[in-house]
Amino acid sequence: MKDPNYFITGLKTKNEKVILEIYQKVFPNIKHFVLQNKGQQADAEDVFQKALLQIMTRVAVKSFEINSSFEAYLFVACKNLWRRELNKRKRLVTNDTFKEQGSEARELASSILEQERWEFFQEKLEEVSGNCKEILKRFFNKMPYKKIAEELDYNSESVVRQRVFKCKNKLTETIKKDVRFKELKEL
Amino acid sequence: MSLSENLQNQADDYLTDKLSVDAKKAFELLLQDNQELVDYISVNKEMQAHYNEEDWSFADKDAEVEGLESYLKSDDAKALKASIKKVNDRFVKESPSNKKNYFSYLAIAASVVFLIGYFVFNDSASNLELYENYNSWQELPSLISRGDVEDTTLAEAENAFVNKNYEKAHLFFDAYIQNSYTVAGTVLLYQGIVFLELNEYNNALTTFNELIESNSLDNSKGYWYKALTYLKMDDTDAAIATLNVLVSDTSNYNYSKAQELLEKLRD
Repeated sequence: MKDPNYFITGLKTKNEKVILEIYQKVFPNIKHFVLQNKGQQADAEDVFQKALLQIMTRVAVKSFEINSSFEAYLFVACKNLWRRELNKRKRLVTNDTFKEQGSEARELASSILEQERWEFFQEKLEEVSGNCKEILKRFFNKMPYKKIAEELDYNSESVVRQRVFKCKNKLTETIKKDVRFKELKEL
Repeated sequence: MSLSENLQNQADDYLTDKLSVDAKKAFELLLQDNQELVDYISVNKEMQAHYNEEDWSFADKDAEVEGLESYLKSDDAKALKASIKKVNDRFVKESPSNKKNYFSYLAIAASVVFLIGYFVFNDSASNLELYENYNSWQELPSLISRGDVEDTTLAEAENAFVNKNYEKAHLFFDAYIQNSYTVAGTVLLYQGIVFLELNEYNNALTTFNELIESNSLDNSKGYWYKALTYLKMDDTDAAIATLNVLVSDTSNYNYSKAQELLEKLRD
């Protein structure tokens, strides 16, 4: 694994060879993901370019640093941008009063704040126990209690219901206790 | 947390839209004077958006957006965006899933055969004649990317170049380079050729060297145009030396053309 700063510096200096290396390493995965999820080649290209700009804007404005591998981080950023795009399209279709789309720069700026908020929530989920994490992930992805009981080997739905109740309270507390929750709350 | 389990369950059902019309109305009444319940709903809404693998939570307005937005509109961000776009287009075009490539290799192979024949039957051409064979400049990529209407200096420069008004092109390129944070490889390429056309050989060589040393994907083009410069200067040894560097790597620009030219020069 290469030091993430190798790629960050490459982007900062607009080193096209390094940028090409990023494409060779990560783009095929993103393309695969987008094509599997209602997207086209052009969507994959768009999301990929935006994710790189998103990362570099955070580096420039917020002294952001990547602590994991650059490739893995970029992949998550792309996935989220694509999810955002799909949700945006859904809102445009279902809601006529949805506010007019901002400029490209504004959209990207908003997506950065949303990505930060998303990262904060993921970080908090990592802080609850492994058992709670597994149950909550399923709960938030709308898996029926019965199915959760089967997958995680609980005796009954009502036991799952209780666990969800406890775990969710624990998670809510952890989130609310963190100062960043209020700082970012304007969203 | 002092909300009862029952109330929380109702809230969860409310969030997932599972309440009947009447129950929903009753719940919304409760919401009006229970701040704790309101908070519960708002955190849970957000959790739902962040932890569900399909949803997304949008930011509506925030002072912070402006700081990020102004960076995104800066010259630095624009230059980065242009570099990424360029690599993107190049990568997508050359990616192996593009079936057209196979045929373009065939076409290149065919033209190589043709060119070798051409040179074999055209013995003893002078350096200047050789130079004239290669100086059409039609292979240069356009400097103006689609949707980028802001940079009129570059557009003027390219326009003057295409019309072979090299003096004018020189002025515009100079103005552009002096006002730019980073200069793309393609701009250096144009500027070098402008010098070459104006017979300012040293400036041309300096500019092509700058291109060779840059991090542009086009940097190997610098060798090719440097060799052409030496041809026009009638300096065979220097042209051969430059082309030898070029053919040391098959991925370099105009690799096969350079080989043919080398054979011709060694005659």
